[in-house]
Amino acid sequence: MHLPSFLQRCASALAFGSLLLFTACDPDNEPDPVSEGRFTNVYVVNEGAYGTPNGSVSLYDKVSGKITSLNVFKAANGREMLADVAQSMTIAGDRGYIVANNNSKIVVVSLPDFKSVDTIKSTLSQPRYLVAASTDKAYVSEWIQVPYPSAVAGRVAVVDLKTNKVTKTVAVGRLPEEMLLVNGHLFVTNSGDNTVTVINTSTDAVETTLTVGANPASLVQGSDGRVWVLSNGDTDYTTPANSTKGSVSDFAPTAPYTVRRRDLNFTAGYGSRIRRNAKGTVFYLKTAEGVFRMAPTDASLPVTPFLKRNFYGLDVDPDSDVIYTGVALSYNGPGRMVTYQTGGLPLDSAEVGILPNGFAFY
Amino acid sequence: MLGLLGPAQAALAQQAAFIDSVRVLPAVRVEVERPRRFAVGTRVLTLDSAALASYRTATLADALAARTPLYLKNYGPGQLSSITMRGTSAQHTAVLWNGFNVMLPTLGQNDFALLPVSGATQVEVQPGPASALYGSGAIGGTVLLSSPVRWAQGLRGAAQADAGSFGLRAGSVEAGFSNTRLALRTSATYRTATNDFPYDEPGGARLRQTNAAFWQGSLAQDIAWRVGKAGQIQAAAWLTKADRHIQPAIGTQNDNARQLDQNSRLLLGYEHTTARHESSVRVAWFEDILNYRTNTFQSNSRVQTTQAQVSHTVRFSQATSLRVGAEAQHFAVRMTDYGGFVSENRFAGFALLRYDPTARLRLSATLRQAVLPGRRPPFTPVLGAEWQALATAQHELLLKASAARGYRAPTLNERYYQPGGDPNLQPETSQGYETGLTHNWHGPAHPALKLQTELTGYQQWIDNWVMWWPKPGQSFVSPRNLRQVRTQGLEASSGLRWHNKVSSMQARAAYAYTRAFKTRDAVESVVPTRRQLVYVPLHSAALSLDGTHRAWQAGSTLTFTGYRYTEDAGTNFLPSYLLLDAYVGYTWRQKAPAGAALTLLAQGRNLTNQSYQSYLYRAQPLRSAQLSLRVAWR
Repeated sequence: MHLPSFLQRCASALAFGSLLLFTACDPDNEPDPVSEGRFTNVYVVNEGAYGTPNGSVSLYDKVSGKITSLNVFKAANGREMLADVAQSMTIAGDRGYIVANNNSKIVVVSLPDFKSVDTIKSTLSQPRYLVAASTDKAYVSEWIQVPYPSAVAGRVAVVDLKTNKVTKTVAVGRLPEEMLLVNGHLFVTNSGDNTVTVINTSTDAVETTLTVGANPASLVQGSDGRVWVLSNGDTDYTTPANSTKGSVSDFAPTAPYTVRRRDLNFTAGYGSRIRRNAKGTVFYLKTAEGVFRMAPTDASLPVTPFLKRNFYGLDVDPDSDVIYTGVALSYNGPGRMVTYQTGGLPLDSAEVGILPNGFAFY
Repeated sequence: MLGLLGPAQAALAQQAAFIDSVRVLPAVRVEVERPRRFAVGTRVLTLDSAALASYRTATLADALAARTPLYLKNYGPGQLSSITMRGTSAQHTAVLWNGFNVMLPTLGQNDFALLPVSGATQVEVQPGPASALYGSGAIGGTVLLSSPVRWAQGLRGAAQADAGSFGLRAGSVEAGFSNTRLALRTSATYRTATNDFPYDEPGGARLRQTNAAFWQGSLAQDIAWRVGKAGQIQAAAWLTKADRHIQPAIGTQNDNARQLDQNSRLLLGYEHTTARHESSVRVAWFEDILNYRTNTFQSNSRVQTTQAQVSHTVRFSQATSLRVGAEAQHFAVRMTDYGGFVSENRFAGFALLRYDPTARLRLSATLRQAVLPGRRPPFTPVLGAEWQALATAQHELLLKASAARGYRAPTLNERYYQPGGDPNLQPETSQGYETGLTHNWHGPAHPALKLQTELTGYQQWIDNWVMWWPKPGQSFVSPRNLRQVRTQGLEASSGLRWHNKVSSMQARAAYAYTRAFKTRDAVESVVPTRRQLVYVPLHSAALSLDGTHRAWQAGSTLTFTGYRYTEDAGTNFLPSYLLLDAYVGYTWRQKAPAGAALTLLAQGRNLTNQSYQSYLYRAQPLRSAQLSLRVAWR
C-alpha cells in the first residue's frame, strides 16, 4: 500500500500547487474611489440580471465626464448590495433609497459617501418606486403577488424615513408604477389598469380614481401645472391587430381633475416613460419607437421621434437639462450610458452595469 | 480511458479484465459496427461501469464533473447542470441515447442533472464537431449513452441504499440476465434530498438554503434478442422523472419556483448482420414534459418526438466499410408559450466511410445533409485520419487529425416561442480542425504497468451563433443570428494503471485549456473584444486516483475549475475553485451462495470545505458525506 499513498500525496501536492498557480491567474478586482462632493454626482441605476442579485449603481462624475465607480455600493461598503432588479433610486436630503424590486427591499445609503445606513425590508412586497414627501415620510409603490393566475394587485406603502418602517398601506390598482406628489395629492399610475389613484397625503387615504389611457406607468407635472401621464398601451403578441396604442393623458392637479386623453399612433410598450426638463416646458416620451419630444402647449402629440433609438432608461438632469440615457447591450452584461444635449446631439458615452434603467442626480 | 476500477467492483478483482472487453460475442457472430468506428482521428473519453460505480444513484452531472475536466454550470445540488465543451454553449453538445438525440427539443439542450447514471452502462464523451455522425448540435462535442450487450452472463442483480448529508437518500435495484440469445437489463434508481445546507452570504451571515429539495427517479429496461442466425432485436425504455424546487439565487426572494420534468424514451430496433452486409431499422418515441411554476407564473410544455433511422452497411473487405442511411424526426408540441399546438418534421441523409489502407493507417470520411422546414443547413462532412507512427513491444505512438463541419438546427423555442420566435432563423454552423497524438506504454508484466498519454489541439469557428435580443423597433426579444465565435484549445490527459495479485491502482490526470471569444457581434454598439466567453473556464483539470487492496477499495478525485467571467462583457468573474472528493469501502464476499457480496462504502465530498459558486449566486454545499450499502450477486 506504499505506492498508492505515495502517489496520492504527490497528486495532492501537485493539485494544491496548481491551485496557487491558477488562482494567481484570476483577474484582479480593484476597488474604485467614492465621491466626496456633491452637485456633480450622477447615480446610474443598473437593474442587473433578473433573478440574480447583481443590480448595481454606477457613479458618473459630471466634471470629469467619467464613470468613477462601476459599482459604487461595493466600493463604499466592501460588499455587494444584493439587489435583484434595482428598479429605481430616489434621493431625499442626504439619503439615497435604492429600490430592489425582485427581492423586496430598499437599500438606504448616506450621500455622498454611499455608506449603507439601513435596509427597509419588512412587509415590503416587490417595491417599484419611492417618492419622498419630506425627509421624514415617503410613499412606495408595490406589487402584491397573488397565487397564479390571478393578476398582481397593487399597494402603496407609507414609510417613516426616521425609523425606516412601513406605517400604513393603501390599496391601489394593479401593477402600480411611478408616482407624483403635487399639492398634497399623490398620483399613482396603475399600469395593470387604465387608472391613476389619487391619495390625499394628509389622511393617506384614497380620494378618487381617475381613468386615463391603458397601462399608465409614468407621469410628470408640466409648466402649465397639469399632470401629464404616459400610458404604455399593450402589445398582443399572438394577434398584433388587437394591440392597444399608447396614449398621453393630462389633468389638473386638483378636483375635479377632468382628464383629457389623446392616443399615440403606436404602442409605446413596457418600460416607456415621460420625463421633463427643469422648467417643465419640454417633455420627453421614451418609447419602443424612440424618444419623442413635445411641449405641454403643443396642439397635437408628436409623430416623429426626436431620437430614433431604443433606450432602456432615460432621465433629464435638472441642473443642465442634459438628457441621460441608458442603453442595454445584453441581459447579462454591461450596458452603456449616453448623454445628449437638449438639441439631441450626443455628448458622452460610458460603460455602466447590466441594464441601465434610470439616473439620480446629487 | 477512464476505465477506472470502481469501488464496488474492485473487490471482484478478477472481473477487471472482463470490464475492459464488454462486447464479448461468440466467434460465429459478426459485431454490429457502432458509429464511433467512423470517427477516426477524434478523441473519446469512456466512463465505463467501473468508473461510474461511485455514481450509481447519482446523475451524469455528478459523474462528469468529478471524473473529467468538463465544466458543468451547476445551479446547486440536483439543480440545472448545463455543459460547455470546447468553449461552446449548452446547445452545442449533443446527447445521444442508443444513437438517438435526447435533447429537450424546446430548449435544444440537456440538463445533465436529469440524466441518472443508471440509464446506461457506458458513457462516452467525444469532444469536437461531429454533426455528420451525430446530427444537429454536435459542435462542441457529443455525449453518447449506451448499454453494450453482455451475452452469456447468467442471472445477476444488486440492490443499494444510500444516505447522506442534507437529507440525501437514494436507492437502486438492478437485475440482469443473459444467455447466448437473450439479454435483459433492468435498473431502477431514486434520489431525494432536502438540501437545507448552510452557505455563506457574500460579506454576510451563514444562512441555510431554502427551496432546493428534489426527488428524482429513473427506470431503465434494455432487451436484446437474437433472432435466427443474423438478426437481432433491440428494445429499450428509459423513464425518468424529477420534481425539483428551484434553488433561488443567494440574496433573492424565494418565489417557490418548482419544476416537474418527466421524460419517457422508448426504442425498438432490428439489425441484420452478415459477414458483408449489415442492415438496421430503428424507431424511437420520446415524450418530454416540463412544467414550471412560481407564485406568479406558470409554463407547461409537452413534446412528443418520433424518430426513425435506417441504415445499410457494406463491408467490402476487412479494410473498407461503407454505411448509408437516413433519419426522420417528427416533433409535436403542446406548450403554453407557443399559443397551442405546433408540429414539425426534419430529415437527414448520411454516408459513412471507413477505409484502412494499411495496417498502420486508418481513414474515415462521413457526410450528412439535413433538411429542415424552410431552411437547409450546410452539407456537414467530417474527415479523419490516424497513423500508427511507432509500434514496439512497449511503445505505441498514434498520430491523429480530423476536420469537420457542424451545425445546430434552430430549437422549437427559437422557431415558435411567442413573442419573438423566428421561423426563418438560420441554423448555426461551425467548422473545426483538431490534431493530436496518443502514446501507450506497456511496462513489465510483473507488476503490470500501463501508461497512456494523449494530447490534442483544436480550433473551431462557429457562425450564426444565436442570441435572444430585440430586433430593431421591437420591445421583446427574438432569437437572432448575431455572433461569430472562435474557440481553440489544448486537451492533455495521462492515465496510469498498475496491478498485482492482491492490489490494483489507477491514476489519471486530465487538463484542458479552452480559449473562446467573439469575433463578431451584430448588436448595435457592441464592439467584440477578445475577452473570454462567459462561463468558459480558461483552465480546468481533473485528477483521480483509485485503488484496491484485497477487500478494501479507496480513491479520490480532485477537480480544478478556473475563473469564469459571469457577464457578456466587462471584468466580473467567479473565482477558481478546487474540489476534493474521496471514498473508502470494504467488501465482504460470501462463499455460498456463490458470488454474493456486501459492500459498505463511505464517500466525502468537498473535503476542503470550499465555499464556492459554479454559477453566479447559486450556493453550493460545504463538506458533505454519504454512506452506501450494496448487496450484489452474480
